[in-house]
Amino acid sequence: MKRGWIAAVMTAVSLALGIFEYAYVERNTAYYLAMLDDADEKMKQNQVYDAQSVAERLEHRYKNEIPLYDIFMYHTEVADVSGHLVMLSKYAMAGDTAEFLATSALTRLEIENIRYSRHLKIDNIL
Amino acid sequence: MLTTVIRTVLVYIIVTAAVRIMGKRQVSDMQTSELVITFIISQVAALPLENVERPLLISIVPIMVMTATEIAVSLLMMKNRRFRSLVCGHPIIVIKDGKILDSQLRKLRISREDLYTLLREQEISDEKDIRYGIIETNGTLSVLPGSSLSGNDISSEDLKDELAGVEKEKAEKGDAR
Repeated sequence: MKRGWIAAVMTAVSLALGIFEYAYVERNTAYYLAMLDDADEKMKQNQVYDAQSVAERLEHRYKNEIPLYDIFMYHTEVADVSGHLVMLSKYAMAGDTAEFLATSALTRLEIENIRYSRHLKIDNIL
Repeated sequence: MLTTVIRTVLVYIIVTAAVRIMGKRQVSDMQTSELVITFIISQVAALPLENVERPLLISIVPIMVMTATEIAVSLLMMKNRRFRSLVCGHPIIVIKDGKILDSQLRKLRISREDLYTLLREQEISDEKDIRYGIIETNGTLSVLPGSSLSGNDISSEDLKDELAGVEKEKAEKGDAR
């Protein structure tokens, strides 16, 4: 029966890790996408400094959360988003709206893929 | 490279703990499900060692879940004979009263030559001296010579149905002639 308890604990820990990862990624990706929307709007309205500020805040927040992401996700997946966020603030600084929006779209796609891959859907399970 | 060293030690500890928790068995004594789980754990454990881009949890969580599942399945098999039969199958009598039962060999997809090999491994040259030859659920051959049995028959619970099936088949063949 001792082994039964060990099995129960292992199952509980695995489920807890899975639920934590799902909740953490879901919450943070929603925030990143909202900030990207905000930055895009500001850039389209030619509010370059505000767009740069939003991009820098997003980049800073993402960088702070990288250590936890690296525990759950492939490191290249995490690094790709980080690289594009760095480019975002530089394009805003340079006032390059087209490049900013293109990079923002790419970053959005990557973040959405990360988010979607954690959903309990049949195509993710199979 | 240092991360690989630390990961290797961690994976070693986790796999050893998992195998220890699942229980001690030699590979030759393992049931099919246990063997499969052992192979899968070894493959999954190697994933973060092959590529440091992969997080360690990508191995740890599947190993924990598989170990827990294996323990749960083995506990259920202890409590429920039908479940055990579903997972592991049941022993099959392939020799009875010195005669090889070809119909049973066909069920197992074993040839007579394979059976003779198993008999020779047990230092038996002639099946005529054997009362019962049984292929166990782990694929090994158990031999019960006539002299070792008291009374007329074996009385193991898990073989009663199998024995009844063999007798019935023999009777049907006798009627058909």
